[in-house]
Amino acid sequence: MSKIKILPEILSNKIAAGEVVERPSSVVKELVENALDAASTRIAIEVENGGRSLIRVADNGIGMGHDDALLSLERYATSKIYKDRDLFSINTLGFRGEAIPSIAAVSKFTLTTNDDTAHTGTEIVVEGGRIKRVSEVGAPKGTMVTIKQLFFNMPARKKFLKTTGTEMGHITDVVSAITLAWPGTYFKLLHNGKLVNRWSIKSDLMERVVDVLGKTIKNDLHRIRLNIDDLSITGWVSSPRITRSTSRGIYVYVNGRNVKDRIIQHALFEGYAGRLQKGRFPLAVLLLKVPADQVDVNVHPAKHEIRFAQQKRIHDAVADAVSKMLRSTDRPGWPTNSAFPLRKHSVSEPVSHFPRIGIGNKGSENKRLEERKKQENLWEKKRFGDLRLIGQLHNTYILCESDEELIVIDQHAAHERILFAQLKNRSLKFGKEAQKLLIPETIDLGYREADALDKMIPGLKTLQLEIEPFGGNTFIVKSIPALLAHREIKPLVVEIAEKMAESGFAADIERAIDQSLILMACHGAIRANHPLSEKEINSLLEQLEKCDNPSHCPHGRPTWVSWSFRFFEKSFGRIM
Amino acid sequence: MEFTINKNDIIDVLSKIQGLTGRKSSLAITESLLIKTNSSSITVTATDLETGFEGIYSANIESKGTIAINSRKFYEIVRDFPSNEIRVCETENHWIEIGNQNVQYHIVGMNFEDFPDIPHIEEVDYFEINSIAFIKMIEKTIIITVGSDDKRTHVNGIYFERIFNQDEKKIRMVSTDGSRLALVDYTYDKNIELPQGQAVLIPKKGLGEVSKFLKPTETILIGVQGNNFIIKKDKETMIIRLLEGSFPKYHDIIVKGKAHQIKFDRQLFLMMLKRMSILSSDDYKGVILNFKKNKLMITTTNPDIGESKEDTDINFDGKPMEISFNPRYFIEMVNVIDESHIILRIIDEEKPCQIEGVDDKSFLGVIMPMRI
Repeated sequence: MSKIKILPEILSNKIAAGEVVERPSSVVKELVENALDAASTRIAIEVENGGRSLIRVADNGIGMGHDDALLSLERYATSKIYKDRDLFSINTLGFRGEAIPSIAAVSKFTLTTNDDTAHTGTEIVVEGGRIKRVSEVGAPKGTMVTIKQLFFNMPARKKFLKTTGTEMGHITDVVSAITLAWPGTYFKLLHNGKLVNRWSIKSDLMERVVDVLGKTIKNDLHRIRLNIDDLSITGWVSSPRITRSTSRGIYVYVNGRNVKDRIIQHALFEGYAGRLQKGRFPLAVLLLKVPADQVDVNVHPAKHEIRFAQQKRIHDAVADAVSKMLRSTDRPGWPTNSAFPLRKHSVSEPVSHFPRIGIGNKGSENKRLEERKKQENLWEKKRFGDLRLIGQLHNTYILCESDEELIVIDQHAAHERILFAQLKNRSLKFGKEAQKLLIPETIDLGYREADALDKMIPGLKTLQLEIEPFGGNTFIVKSIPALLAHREIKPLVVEIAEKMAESGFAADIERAIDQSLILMACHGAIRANHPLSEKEINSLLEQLEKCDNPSHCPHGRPTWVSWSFRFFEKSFGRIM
Repeated sequence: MEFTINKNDIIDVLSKIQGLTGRKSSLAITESLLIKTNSSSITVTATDLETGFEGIYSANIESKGTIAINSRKFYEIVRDFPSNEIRVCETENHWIEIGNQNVQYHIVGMNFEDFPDIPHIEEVDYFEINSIAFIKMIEKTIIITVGSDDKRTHVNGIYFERIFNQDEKKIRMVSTDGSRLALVDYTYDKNIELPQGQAVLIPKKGLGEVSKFLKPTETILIGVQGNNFIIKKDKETMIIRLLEGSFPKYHDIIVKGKAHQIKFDRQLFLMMLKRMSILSSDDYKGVILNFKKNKLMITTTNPDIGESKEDTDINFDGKPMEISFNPRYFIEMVNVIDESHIILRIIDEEKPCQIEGVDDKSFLGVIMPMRI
């Protein structure tokens, strides 16, 4: 008897379920995605007991006829692709034809659907992968899938389920994440008969974003919008001051699909370069629209991973969009009460020139003024140089005030940023020096790394890192950037090659050079405990203003923090 | 244990030993000194786990014993002690009492048994060298320093080898950081016995520390045993653990082939380089040497500060060329050449430049150009 057997279908569906159906939230994800693929505009999700007892997803989509409904339960049966070629231009969220049979294999499953061609709908009841009953029922157009007793025939999986709260948390996360990419669809989520959340169509997409990222940061999110040819990037990224310690606050969507993509994450970080402290992650929602034929989604069963045909283009576009946005928004923009921009050393105090709007003083005149102010604020961002200097705290921090805030500037961090910007500017403008090596450094690499490094040789040479192939996977380094002459170059080159081979993006040699510049800036910068004259402080602020990234020192630490006067008034109990 | 020492006998060595014991290490006890009594002397031992020091100093021994005491504090106590005679006495539980009738310190000692073992030295094929010559060899090679996180053994170590030719015997020390190389020879009289031995790599840090203990007017013994390099004086022994690794084949680099030989007054050349490097900075360190017929022009350009140039007459009869160098590399090498005139051996902007004294060929420096 032969040792190898073809698995019975029920068993193979169970195995597939292992990949696709990890926990109740994955069922919700698959079903909601199906509903979206069916062009639904209203999707209701009902969950009981964290998804253990019941998961029901009802939509008003195109629905299925009697025969289609039966076919949909077969493995690899799908309406989403037909031909080989379709696999490379997938416009739908699903396409594998695995989800329904897999879920049906591990639950008590009821499918009710009506495509409105016949008068009646179809209801199919499946238990553990076996069809128990098929009947005609009255049903509205659309599809309703009811899952009862998930994992009833997989006690091991069932045992690994967490508490109701945890599982429900996952489900809420999954649903809110999906809603982000589908602003034109109404979603409703119920748990044990109670409404958890409702995402209406009219609502601002921002509200959906705040749902996943948290309400408190609403004002710290910046909008991104970029269209290049057939590529479109929209979304929100957080101000670099709002960070998390994990990447969980990063939501990336490609053509409506929530993915975890290394390339895009890398690009996001590149956009934040110099603004984040080590080990911190920004919050972001990025929605990418890429022509379907330029994305390969057929990489991962749960489709978390994808591949881009034009990796570099997408990477650079994202990085560029993020960095451009941050460059314009990650600057201090202190609110001002005055209608005119403040001038330093002005003779009169411009603050009190206009009556403040108080209770009982809501005349139209004032309203108009207020509007004018608002408009002005949009254009007239307060600059460092416009701040009124209060003094120096502990010979370390510079205290300033704007009309509504107290601003504290770290003099060392600020000066570091200024010096770094100068050094960097210089090296870009005038080029870099190279130190030739008396004893060339030999580097042995693996095949992949060698191949990757080989392609980078011309690019590295422009950065004064001169490398030559030396036969096989061996390379020799003939000259190095003079700024790195004091350090060992080999680990750096190996790292560049490894990163390039792994992700297609090199650990920048540029960054290593920046490190040297940062060190120089750090050594050259004024220290804490260093008294500064008013003149010095003013010049420091003026120079800081000119920097590209004035809000962070080159290590990513903030150069300033601020407290609004409201905060003080609250603290002193002046207002409640 | 109890002993009395003379401040003058020990203050000098205690000061120099701080370089070893002051280094942060994961083993706290290496910040201590081990003091052991002999019949009429004490043995002081210190180590940073790479370099060990052992010295014997006369003392009045009242009772025998061994202590481990914080090196920094012991040095400071001895240094500022009001009288010449200092009594050191262990009471109990590693407590150490230092003082006389008026001044008293109670110091928490450490358990001397925790002190790392110093390699046991015996039967070493020592050979003699004049300490001034040895100090010079170290000075001339450790000018090429090591970055703190540089792991390359051939940069961390100085290559030490013994060379036997038909008519000469010499020891040679070679140092490099990949961009430049310094080589010093010490030639022995051919009648002197020089034991054979493999070339070894001695850490620059250890050699730098050790050279502090050497006085210019003595003859010392040096030798290699196992993986240790040993320097022995009358009453003091220093042991440096050798580095394991290979050293690049440097022989091609030091070959004196066809090159333009240009003679300079050492002091004038040095001052010229110093003047030209006033305008250099960390990110613009290069100077350009323009060679024309019988003329050398050195220029510096720094985008932020400005430019400088200096002309000088030389003997040069080749094709005009322009070569950039890090002037610091030159200054460091010219500084250690003890002659009034030096020779540069220059080929072109791709090849290394050699630098040496006119008469004394025991030192050779090699510097690779920059590309600006």
